[in-house]
Amino acid sequence: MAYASETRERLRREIETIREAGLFKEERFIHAPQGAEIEVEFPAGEAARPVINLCANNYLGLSSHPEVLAAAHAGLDRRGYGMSSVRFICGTQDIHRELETALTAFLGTEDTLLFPSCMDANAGVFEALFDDQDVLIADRLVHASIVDGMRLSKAMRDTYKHADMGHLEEKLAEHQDRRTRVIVTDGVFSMDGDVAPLDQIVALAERYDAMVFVDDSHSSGFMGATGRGTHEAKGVMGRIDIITTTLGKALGGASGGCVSGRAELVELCRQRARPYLFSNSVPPVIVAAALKVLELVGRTTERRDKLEENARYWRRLLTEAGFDLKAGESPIVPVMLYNAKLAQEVSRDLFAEGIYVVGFFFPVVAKGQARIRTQLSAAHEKHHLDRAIEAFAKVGSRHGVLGLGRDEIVARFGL
Amino acid sequence: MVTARVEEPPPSAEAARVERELAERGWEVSSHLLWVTVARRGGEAEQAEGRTREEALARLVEALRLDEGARLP
Ligand SMILES: Cc1ncc(COP(=O)(O)O)c(C=O)c1O
Repeated sequence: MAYASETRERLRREIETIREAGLFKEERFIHAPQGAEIEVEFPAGEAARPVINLCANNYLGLSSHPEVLAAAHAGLDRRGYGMSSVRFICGTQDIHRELETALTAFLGTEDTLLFPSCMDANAGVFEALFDDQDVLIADRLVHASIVDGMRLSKAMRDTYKHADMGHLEEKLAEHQDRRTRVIVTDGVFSMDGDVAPLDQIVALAERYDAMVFVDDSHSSGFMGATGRGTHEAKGVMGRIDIITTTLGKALGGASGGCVSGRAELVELCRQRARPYLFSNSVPPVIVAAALKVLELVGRTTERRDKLEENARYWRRLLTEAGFDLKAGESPIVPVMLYNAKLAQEVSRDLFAEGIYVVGFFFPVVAKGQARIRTQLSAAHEKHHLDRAIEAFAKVGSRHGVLGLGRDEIVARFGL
Repeated sequence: MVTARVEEPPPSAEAARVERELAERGWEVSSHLLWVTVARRGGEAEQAEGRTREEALARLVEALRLDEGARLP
């Protein structure tokens, strides 16, 4: 028998270990389109109940926007459901190229290549462009998909301390003998919601003859005055060599990602990047809807302005209630609880109060950095946030964490 | 950094044959000794190679730093 009973036993033990470590991931079934208010069945088998959603990446509230849905329906009617092909055989429609052109204009780059996801874009880009004569110097908190992409490349890998420009400079100086140096960073870091100092990174890149790679998945559509991303927010549009981003968060929230940047780099990805070459095309329905998303985002800054206002308002409410927050300027607002068990209990109690948030703890975040990550959306109205803060205050007070800083929380609950 | 290099033995007849065969398929082949370092913790593992033990360990450290970084979706 191929699937030996010892194999089954071993795998079951591994699953048990995950469970015992408190790391078992359980899906919650949502009985509604994505939005500020959703119906959630949890635990499985319970009746679904209404909750306010504070954990989606639906930053611009476009996941279920009527114009986006209409564009998706029209795309389905005009270009069909699936392509049954990779891009370079018979999987490229006119609208795929249209979307790439629209993304290029939106991001202010020279060219763009679509991928099935940003995970795929990150998995393909480094291997396609760099080899063992080059070095990739990454911020130590880059997204897991970048780490995987760097592993797949033959280039030398090095890191610099999170957002530490002095350390990055040392590394750039150290690697002057390499053919190409590439600084690798997220635009907004999903863990802390902080923004990479791209202005300083670009200045260092210019001084030390390095290229800059930015994953703007948590920024595209809303960071910067017109929502183009962190490069707009930090005043370095046109000076980032490679941007990867996703259509799976602010830009409609379905799926799909891209590599955008210098024309030759993008062309080489088209020739060589394996997830582009060997995985199916982004479905026409998503392409058509994403085109509409870019049109909406380009038409007005109303949504990103509302998101910014919501984030500011939510930060103020939490601070006034006495929660300890990570400072920041993005719509990712981490409520720091430091202790893993406490983060789990608080998120569970908030769910009981009708607020959907998730507690994160080691090894997802560093030890002693347990938190509840809240994420704002332009789909939130003030009344959602007012209702949410009531629940946060009630639960926070029950657990005795209001008004406490890190040291006091750690003294009371341990790490 | 002081590093000890190990004397590489000459290729065996079998190694020479394989290298020749690959060369016929268009590959330029070179072989050399490497240090391999492995770190394990529970079910996790990371491996790195280098021409010297120090180089391998330095790469291992960087690989682990990345692995231990952000894991949030
Ligand atoms: C920074 C970053 N890069 C890439 C991804 C992956 O994006 P996608 O869902 O398109 O694969 C994510 C999503 O979790 C992310 O946060």
